[in-house]
Amino acid sequence: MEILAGIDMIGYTAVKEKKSQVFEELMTYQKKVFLICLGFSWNASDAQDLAQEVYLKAYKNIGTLTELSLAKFWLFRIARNTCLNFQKKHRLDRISAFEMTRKIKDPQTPESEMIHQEQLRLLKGAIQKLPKKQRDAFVLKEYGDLSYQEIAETLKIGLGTVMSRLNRARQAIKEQIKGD
Amino acid sequence: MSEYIDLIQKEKEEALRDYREDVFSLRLDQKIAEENQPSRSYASWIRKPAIAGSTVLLILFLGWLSTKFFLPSSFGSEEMHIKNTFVQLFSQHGTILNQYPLQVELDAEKSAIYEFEWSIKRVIFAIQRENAPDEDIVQNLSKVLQNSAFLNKAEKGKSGELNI
Repeated sequence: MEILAGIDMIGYTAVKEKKSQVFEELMTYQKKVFLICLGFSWNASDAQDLAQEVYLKAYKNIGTLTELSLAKFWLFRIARNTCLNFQKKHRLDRISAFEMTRKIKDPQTPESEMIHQEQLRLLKGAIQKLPKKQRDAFVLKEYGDLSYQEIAETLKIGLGTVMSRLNRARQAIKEQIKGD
Repeated sequence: MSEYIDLIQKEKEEALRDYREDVFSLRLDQKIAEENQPSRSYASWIRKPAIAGSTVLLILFLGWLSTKFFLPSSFGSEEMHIKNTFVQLFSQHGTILNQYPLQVELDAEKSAIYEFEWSIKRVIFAIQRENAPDEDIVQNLSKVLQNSAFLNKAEKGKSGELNI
């Protein structure tokens, strides 16, 4: 019994070490995660907080991860879900839109910066208005710099679907910005 | 479209300029350390409702006990019910009782009245246990009284026969 318990302990320790290694590996994607969060949120400060939350969730739930080789996509999924929950809770589109407008109207800001901020506000607004599925694909591609294959793995959809969603998202953003 | 791709690129660059991996890792390590610590605040949070819950349970138990000891039992109401039944019974069957020697015995000896009363009560309680309506109680009692009088008469007759 003691021998079995010993073997079991070794197995447990090995798994624990392996998971610790996986978490260390996940930490190498922190910039990608931060940028994905930036795509879903309105400012870098929120994005940093969200990225922290993503990693904390990953740390807490790493025990539930069965396919360690797919940990990266699991992390990106956590990022997407965390950002969507944050948006639901804080109604980012309204609060931050106000903050952005305030910045633009600041008389101290140079004109070029004001134009840049206005363009950025339009773009962010357009991204927020996208249908959820299209927005996921768009943010993962344009902010996270994920490949089509990586997006497909993250969202658990086909490659063709990724392409069509991206295409529609880009089209919609173009139209929305023209409209504004 | 490329104009907006450039805009995104610029936004990313600006955000990354202020982003420091070491600060991020440090903050995360702190949060993880807080997460791993057994939370005292959680323990105190759970302790308070536990105390409140057990107090409520204790009060409820004491309340239940006090109702057992201090509230009047249902016997009083039962007694009233029996008295009413008796009034009904005797108003309807007073004559029957007068016809039989049993009534004479009851009038004569108090102990016999006591026994009689309790035999009636037992019958009433038995009927009540079966949830019989009040009318049934009167009818059943009437039957019991008639039967007991009949049996009494028959027994007396039997014993007379034997004596012969």
